[in-house]
Amino acid sequence: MLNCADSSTSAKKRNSASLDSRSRETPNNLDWAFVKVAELVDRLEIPFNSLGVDPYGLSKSHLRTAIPIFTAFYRHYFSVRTRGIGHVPARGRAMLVGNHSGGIAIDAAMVVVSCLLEMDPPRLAQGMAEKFIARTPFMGSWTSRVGQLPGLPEQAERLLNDERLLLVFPEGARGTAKLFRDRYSLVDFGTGFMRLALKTNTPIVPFAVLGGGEAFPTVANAYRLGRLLGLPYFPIVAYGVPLPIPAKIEIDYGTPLRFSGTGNEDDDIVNRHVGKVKDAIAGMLASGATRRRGERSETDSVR
Amino acid sequence: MRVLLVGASGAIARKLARHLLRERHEVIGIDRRPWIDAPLTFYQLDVRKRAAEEVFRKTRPQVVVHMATVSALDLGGEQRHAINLGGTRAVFEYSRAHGVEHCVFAGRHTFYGAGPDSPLFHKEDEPPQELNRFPELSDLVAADLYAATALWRSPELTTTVLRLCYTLGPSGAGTLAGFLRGRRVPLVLGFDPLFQFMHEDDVVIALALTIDR
Repeated sequence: MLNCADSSTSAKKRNSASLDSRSRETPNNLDWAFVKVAELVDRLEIPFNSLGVDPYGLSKSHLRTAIPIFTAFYRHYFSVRTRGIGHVPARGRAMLVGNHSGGIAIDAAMVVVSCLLEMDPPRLAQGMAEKFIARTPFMGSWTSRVGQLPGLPEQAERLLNDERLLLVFPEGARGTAKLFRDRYSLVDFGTGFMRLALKTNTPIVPFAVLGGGEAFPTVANAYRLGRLLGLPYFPIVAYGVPLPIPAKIEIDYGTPLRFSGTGNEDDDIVNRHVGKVKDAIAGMLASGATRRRGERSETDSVR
Repeated sequence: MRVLLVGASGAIARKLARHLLRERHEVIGIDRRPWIDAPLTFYQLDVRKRAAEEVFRKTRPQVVVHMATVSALDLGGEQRHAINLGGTRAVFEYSRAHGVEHCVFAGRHTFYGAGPDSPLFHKEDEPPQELNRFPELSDLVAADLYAATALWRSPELTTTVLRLCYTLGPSGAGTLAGFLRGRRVPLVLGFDPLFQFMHEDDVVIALALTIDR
């Protein structure tokens, strides 16, 4: 199962040794996650070269080390529940378009993990990252090695023409800057994604992330401090330390939306299409929020 | 064809010269740097000097390949500017004055710049984007644009501008080879970009095909 063409020596040996003996044990340790993720990475339908690197610098070995950690967060920390994964096309170009939930981009990481773990064959969602990330030392190279490239239109177009799965948050950094009280609402959507979808004839899979706001409850954003650190803003959370707490996160994927056109339509036409995507996401957010309130009051009444 | 190589002593230029000789072209070389036992008519002189124009006048080349640009930062801005822009200007002016049919400018991909957030794959129609963050590129960019504007300045002259990416190959010469040569490749603050490169033999073939056009 494991492709030995590229070798990350010792970790690899440990993994392949434990593949047979442990794969049937309870999936509760990080070791299992490493083996499982290595299998999934090998099953990705991406044209890796013999060194395990694709034309965009996406690297199998980086995925193998990074994804298990996010998988642990997905399974055990945020106990992510994914619904409607069947809406994500198994092959071919597609655009995942959703809301930002939480003061930092844990939502993106969880969506990436959900497509890897819950889909068969697994797919890698490739995000269009904020440009400041590319300029951040260490982070910049690392994000592109795990397939999350700087959000440039030409890059996105190329990925779609290569039949990849694109992950887009049209709210951008304004979306992650949402405060706790606005966690189920949406800010303005950009229109670039829609023009690109029209131009490349790409289906849009709307999704809603719920719970990121609880996991990372921003009460205020320090914009001046952020600028000093080279960030769009610095989020302040109620409990001080800017790290997420283990709130339950849910990801709902909706029915794919198809729009036909050229991408050169007038703004009002494009805005109308964008409105449809936004409505789909807002609908899932609203029903998700009601559901979550119901679940919470149920548990309260049991107590 | 009679081909004049400007900057003939460089590693790629020498390979190109040998390739063209094998293809039965007549090859003439100019370079400030020596080329001992050069297998062609070789003039050790600076292309910006009057003697170089004499070479154009006497040998009447049909094709000129300009490979005498530099990117080394240790030369200093003044000198780089004088070599890159001054040399390119001289090559195009002599070519125009002495009946050259085709002038090939062997430029560099560094024209586009390499910002951490620039696209991975460059297209020909992109402008130079990183001059603000790396103004040291300006002399090469100016030389490239000067060469490209020869298309309308000298319509009688066929002009080709190539933007060649890094080369790697058995000669071990070149910027990228120098970067990779040591026991460890230095990565400053984890900056580990993708490099585009061509095999040096492929670059030679590309240049030879351009000349044949």
